[in-house]
Amino acid sequence: MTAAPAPPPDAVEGRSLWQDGLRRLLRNRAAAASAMFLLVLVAACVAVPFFVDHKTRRTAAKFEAPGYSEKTRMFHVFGTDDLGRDLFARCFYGGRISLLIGVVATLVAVAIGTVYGSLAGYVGGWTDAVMMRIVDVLYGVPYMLIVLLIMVAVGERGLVPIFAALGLFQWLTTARIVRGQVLSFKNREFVQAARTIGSSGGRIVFRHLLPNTMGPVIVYSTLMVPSVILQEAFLSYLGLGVQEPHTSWGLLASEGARAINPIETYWWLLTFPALFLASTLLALNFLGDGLRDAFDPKGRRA
Amino acid sequence: MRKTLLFCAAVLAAGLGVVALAFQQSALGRADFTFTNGTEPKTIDPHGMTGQPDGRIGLALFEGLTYYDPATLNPVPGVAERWDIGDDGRLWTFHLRRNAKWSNGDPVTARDFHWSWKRMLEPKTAAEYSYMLWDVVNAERYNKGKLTDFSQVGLEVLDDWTFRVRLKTYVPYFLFLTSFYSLLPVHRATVEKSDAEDPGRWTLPSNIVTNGPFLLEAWVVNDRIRLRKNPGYWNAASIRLDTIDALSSDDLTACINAYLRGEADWNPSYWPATLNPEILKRPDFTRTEASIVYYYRINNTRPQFKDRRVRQALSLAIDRKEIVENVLGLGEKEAFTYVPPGIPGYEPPRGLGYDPERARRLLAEAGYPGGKGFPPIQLLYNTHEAHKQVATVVAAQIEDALGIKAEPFNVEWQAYQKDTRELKYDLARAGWIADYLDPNTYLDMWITDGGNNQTGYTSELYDRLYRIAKDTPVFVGEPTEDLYALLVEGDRMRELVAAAREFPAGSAERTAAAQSVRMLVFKEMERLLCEIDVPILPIYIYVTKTLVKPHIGGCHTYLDGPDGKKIPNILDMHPLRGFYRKDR
Amino acid sequence: MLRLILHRLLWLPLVLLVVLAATTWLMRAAPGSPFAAEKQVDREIQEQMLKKWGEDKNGRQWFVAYLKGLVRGDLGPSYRVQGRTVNDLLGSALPVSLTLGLLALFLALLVGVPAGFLAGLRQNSLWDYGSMALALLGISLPAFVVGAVLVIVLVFNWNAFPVGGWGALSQLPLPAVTLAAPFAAVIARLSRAGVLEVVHEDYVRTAKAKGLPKGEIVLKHLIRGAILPVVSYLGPAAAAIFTGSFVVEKLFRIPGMGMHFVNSAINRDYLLILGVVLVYSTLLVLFNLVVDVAYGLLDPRVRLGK
Repeated sequence: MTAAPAPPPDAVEGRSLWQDGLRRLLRNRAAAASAMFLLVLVAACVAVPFFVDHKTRRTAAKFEAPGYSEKTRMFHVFGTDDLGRDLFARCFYGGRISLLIGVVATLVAVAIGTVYGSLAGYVGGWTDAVMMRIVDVLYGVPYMLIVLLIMVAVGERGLVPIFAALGLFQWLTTARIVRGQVLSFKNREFVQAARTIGSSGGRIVFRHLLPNTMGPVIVYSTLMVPSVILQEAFLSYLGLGVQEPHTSWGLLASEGARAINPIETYWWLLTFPALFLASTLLALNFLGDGLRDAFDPKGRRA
Repeated sequence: MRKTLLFCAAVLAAGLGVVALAFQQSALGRADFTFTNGTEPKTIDPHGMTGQPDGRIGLALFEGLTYYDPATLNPVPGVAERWDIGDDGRLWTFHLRRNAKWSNGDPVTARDFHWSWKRMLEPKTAAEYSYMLWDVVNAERYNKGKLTDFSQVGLEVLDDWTFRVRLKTYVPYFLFLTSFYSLLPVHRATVEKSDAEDPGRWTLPSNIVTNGPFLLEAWVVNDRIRLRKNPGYWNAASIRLDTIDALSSDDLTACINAYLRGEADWNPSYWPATLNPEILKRPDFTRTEASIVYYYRINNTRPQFKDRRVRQALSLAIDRKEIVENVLGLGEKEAFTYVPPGIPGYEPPRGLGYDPERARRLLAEAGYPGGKGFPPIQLLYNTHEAHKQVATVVAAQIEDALGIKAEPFNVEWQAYQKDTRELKYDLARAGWIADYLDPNTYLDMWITDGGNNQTGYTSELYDRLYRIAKDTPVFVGEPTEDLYALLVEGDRMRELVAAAREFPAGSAERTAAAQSVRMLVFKEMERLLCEIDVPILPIYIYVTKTLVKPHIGGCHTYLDGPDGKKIPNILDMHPLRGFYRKDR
Repeated sequence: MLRLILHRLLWLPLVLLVVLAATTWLMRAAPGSPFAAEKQVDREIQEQMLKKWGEDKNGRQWFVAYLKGLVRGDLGPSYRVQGRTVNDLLGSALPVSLTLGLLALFLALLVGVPAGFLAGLRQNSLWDYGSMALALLGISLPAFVVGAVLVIVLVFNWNAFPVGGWGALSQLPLPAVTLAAPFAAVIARLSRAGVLEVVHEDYVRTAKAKGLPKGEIVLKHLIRGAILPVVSYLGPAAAAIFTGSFVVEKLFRIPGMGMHFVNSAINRDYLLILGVVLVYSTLLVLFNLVVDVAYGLLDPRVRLGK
């Protein structure tokens, strides 16, 4: 009797680039801790404002120090602001906006940059040269000034202009990265194979090239988010960023910075938003560094 | 390696060269008196000046026919040493002094004033404040380009030292206008030379020719303006400072920091509101009521605001007390009427007051019981911490009292002005400061299609009252009976008119008595504005904030009034010529 | 090398043209004008004002007129600061920003390079973690926060420095430090990364194997390779630092380029905006050129490759 063929001995499980990278990432303690921290923070920013009131103005209770307040008969973990609003709640509510801006603007930049870069890289030739020249020229424009002009032009109607304006000038580097990646993969065997079986250009780009470019793009995006959040802080400092009734860490920090004076220090107004900003940005940077170390085959690129 | 070092050395050398260039501007050193002037002045050409930062410098560099006495803020003889008033107050003849000189030695003559005021009215100068001269015969028509022959405008040079102004009506506050910075003279030859060779640059320190108590020594953009005492000024003996520095900075924190650290001696700018409680305690801080009002415009053209009961309800629903006590913190006062107190001779009406109950009733009568069916209200304001706070609280108050959803909404300065001008708002924050001490400066803006109206408010009665206030002696001469029935205090007005008619027409006594009628007319206008039609919502009256070091004198929070009494300096005007150092 | 320089310099006018055109288009799209006033100006007066400033031309005519002036070296008048041309304003602001920027860049390099090098050489040590965390903090806090704190500590608590202004040497350190901080942080990180990149290379290991003293290894062999990332960063960083930081200038009342940068946009001072963009783009191209030359001098592979 012929027995069923025995199952092959334990095959060595192949590991994809992703799995490999993930393992390396998790081994980097700082990066893993940062990832954890960010998850918790995002969850908190989403959840906390539902439970704690960030909107009610109690003008008689302004500038209360952290702790229990006689005037509002509530415990304010971070104190109150200039209109008697609880700072603890506002920090988390502001976190929603800051993180949202950071993520969405980055996504906008990545989307534009990916499309642009992959087009340039894949089509190649004159088109590529022209498209990259355009990128070079755009690099020469002082983008902050243009962002200001856009914000001033559009006026403050919601957050969408901020996403657009900030994302609009971050896409340049993404485009360069994606193009570089596409160029280096374009002539590999698997792409040629796809071509011989008749895949259209678009399909090749989407199914074969882009997944391979995502590594550096993800790394770079994680490092782009902090920079976007800082730019939003600058816009808010100028009064051109997030507007009432919304708030953001940048707006809270600039209000806190204005409250710094040599006579009376309402230190909590600056300290807590700055803490949120710094810790989030630190975590994002650690995470980004970790991702870069993990996914870069050479292991130590600058 | 050597190449690299050479390269670095070259770069370093280039860098040091730049540093040397930057410090080449001779260090100016500390002036006798330094103060924070606020925003960088837009210009020091009198015909382009707007606002205090420009005006302060202008009034120090130039002198008009009259100037404000720093201790009383009364107009006193400047270039004009005396004047005659004739023809019912419509003809002013100024006699100039012989020893007033320009900084290049030329004498200041009547022709200078004629040419300067002509320049101001010239359409192509596009002077924003040209309306100050519209009381002069034919001036408005000339300014708007409807008249091209300037000789028809009521300005005459009788000889080098005599300048005659013909007005359309009697303007009791005309001397305040002649002291105002827009009506300062400029040196014709200098301006014309500049227009021909290098337009717009005659105000540079190297070109400028002035006739005032100070000379322009240096002007470093975004840093400071340095003024030096003018030894050739006819009244140089009264000027007790050698040098003045006007620091430019937009940033409130930087300004107050400079003062607190002793780098500035006077801080007329504002400061972050968080500092208020501490500053109030300081001995070098004084305050008094100011003639500045903070209010909201209502867009009278939008359908939900057309019913005056809705507007009255809004006014009654705002608790101004909460705002001045909890939100602000420098002793501002609630405003139930538009014209701030302190204008001599003027008595305002009471205004509507705070009565949320009555507000709700009115709103229900208008068809929105409990606020149902009323569209949400947006409170427009220009991006600024203080405005944000007030708007947030006012919106909350409207919601609480009337049940209408209300939200603050801010845009930056230029967009805010545009939206206000184009009536793209529900409620819009606004402020107004007096140009001179007469109710007209506050009330003439609300006439139909007035340039600064921007609410869509139009009232025949209001316009009619405005015309009467403009030329009261004429009205007294031919009063109309039907007017009294339209007014709240119609009987009283009839009495005052009768009293004025007892004097012969054209006499000085009648003109003086007509003033009381005029003040009552203004009161009735305010009634329309704040009690009956309510196109606007006055919120609070500012305070003057004076923060000045103890060794500086001449900054008067209280002025010397008539009968030796002290009256508050409500215009918050502190001409630079009046400052001096107590420690020298 | 010479080809590179020539190539870049020839590109410059084209880049500037495109940049200026793009900026002009964006400016005209913004609502508001330089002449907005608190008191309403009669329509006739408004029209006069527009004519006076040449604003009644349409976009294309305006741009051509501007270019003609540019070729003559005339950048036009400022609308906001009347009586001054853009040449005046930028001419006095640029040296100020350059001085401050030079000082800040110098400080940033002085602090950042050694810190980063040390961290890279002593990887995973306490110094490494500590200094890198500090560096990350430097780039995680907005400039106005850092500036505000420095003012409180150094100006009001220690009375060490004046609170602002320009003209005396004592007014330099505080703004320079505030301006330098974020750049120092990035430079530290980059030099650390540069060291790590090079430290395992063969030629370094050879030097170590030869028994050369550590200092000599670092200075003679390591530095040229490790400094490369810092050098490439210097290009855009220098342009940014030299065009002044608005926040620092506002806080310390420094009459530099940063103020013009931001205020021109907010005030719709069209010609000043173009002037600022012109300066910025020129500086960027020039600095990138300097950096690329330096890169070539430092890294023989690049030179040979080209």
